[in-house]
Amino acid sequence: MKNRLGMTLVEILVISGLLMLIISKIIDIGLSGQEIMDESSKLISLQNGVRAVLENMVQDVNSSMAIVNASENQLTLARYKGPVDDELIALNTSDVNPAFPYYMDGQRTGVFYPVLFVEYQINDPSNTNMISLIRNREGAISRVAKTGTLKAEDSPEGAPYFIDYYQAVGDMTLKSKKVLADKVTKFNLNYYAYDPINGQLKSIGELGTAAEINERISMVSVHLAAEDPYERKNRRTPSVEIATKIWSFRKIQENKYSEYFGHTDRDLTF
Amino acid sequence: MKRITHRKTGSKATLQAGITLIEVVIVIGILALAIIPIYNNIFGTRIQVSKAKFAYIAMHLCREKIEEVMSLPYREMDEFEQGYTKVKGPIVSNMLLETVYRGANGGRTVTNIGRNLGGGFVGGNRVVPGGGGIPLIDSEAQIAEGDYPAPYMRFERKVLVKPKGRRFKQITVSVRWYEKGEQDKRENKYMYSLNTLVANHKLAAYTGGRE
Repeated sequence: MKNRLGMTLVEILVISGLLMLIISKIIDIGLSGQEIMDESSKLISLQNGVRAVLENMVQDVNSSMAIVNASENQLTLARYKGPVDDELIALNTSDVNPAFPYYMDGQRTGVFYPVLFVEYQINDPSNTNMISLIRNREGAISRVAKTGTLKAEDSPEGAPYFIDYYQAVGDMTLKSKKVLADKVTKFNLNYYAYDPINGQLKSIGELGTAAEINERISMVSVHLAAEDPYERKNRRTPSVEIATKIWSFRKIQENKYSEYFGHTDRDLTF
Repeated sequence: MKRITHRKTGSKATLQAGITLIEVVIVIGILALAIIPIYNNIFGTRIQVSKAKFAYIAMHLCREKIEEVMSLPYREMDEFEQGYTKVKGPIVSNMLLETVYRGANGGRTVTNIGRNLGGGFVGGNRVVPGGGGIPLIDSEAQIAEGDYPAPYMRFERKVLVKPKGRRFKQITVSVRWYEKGEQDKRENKYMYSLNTLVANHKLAAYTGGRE
């Protein structure tokens, strides 16, 4: 009787061939799985960054009191930090009338608000003033929050009796600074404000001087894109791109109900 | 496995026979099958990450439209009601830029303030290549700076404005999107919706008793 122990050469060859075929497929599947996992991981990381930027920006712009620095890739705004301290109202020369009118004896009254200044900026290698936090990080967006004082008064050029000029004054105290996103390839900010005459929304380029513009900015259009490309050309680049607009609720109310609200509330209770 | 007795020696010790080809093939087949759920899991994660991205875009499309309608004069809100409309064109629409809040005429007026002036975008038109193989995105579409990006063509947005009593209006913004193509359109399963109430704070004294 034929001995059935072990395998013949043909069997071993067939098995080897099959094994090679199956193992190559398994490796192929494993590699593509790894690529998909890697792509997912990159996408999650990009989405986390974009979400962090937008969630913070929406909250900050919605509750902003004034934009104090507006440029295409940098934004600084002021949020109310707390109730206005009566001692911070800088009276004009006469102390008869504490807050209104804004002009007294030819001098302007300034109102000083305790605020939180929030600054968003993207790393710009050409800008030597960039904070060290993001200076060496490609496409990083940072959010820096500082407490300070915002001075509001009637601008010399504008219509009298309207607070329409905001300026950061005094020292600021750093509260937090953090990098919200990396690998951002596009961070375009565009600003819109309401025309003081008819309330129409316009690009800030069509409105007033720089000082007046800051006070009037009511909406920010944000175009944010982040991508993390592979070195291999034939792979799809993981990317996230969001374009949206964010309003300041305070400005909406001031514009819609101009008969109720001045450019700031005159009894300082807003 | 077979157990055999060594005939020559008569020994009762048993020997293990080799594995047959069929056995090897079956085992490898089972192992290969075990990889499928693992692979499915990895691929499923990728799909979920994409869904999360679309859902997040949809959330912002809803939020910005809610804020936009909230910013309008109370009487103008109804004008911004729309059925499902593809999201494309300028982020800040001409209709929004044409809305006048106060003045002799009020309401919207036709102006020449278009998006070319809006926002100070720089750079001319550019062509953004659409997603290959996705019929919902027009790969030939011209996307200007200041427009919604090409992938937004997957999205459609609906705005409903309904009066609620004498002083309120309910704004409902729904966004739906298509992840694959026409199949999604039939199933219509991806949806994000937000709604809010907006009050009219204008007193009749200020509007001549009209509101």
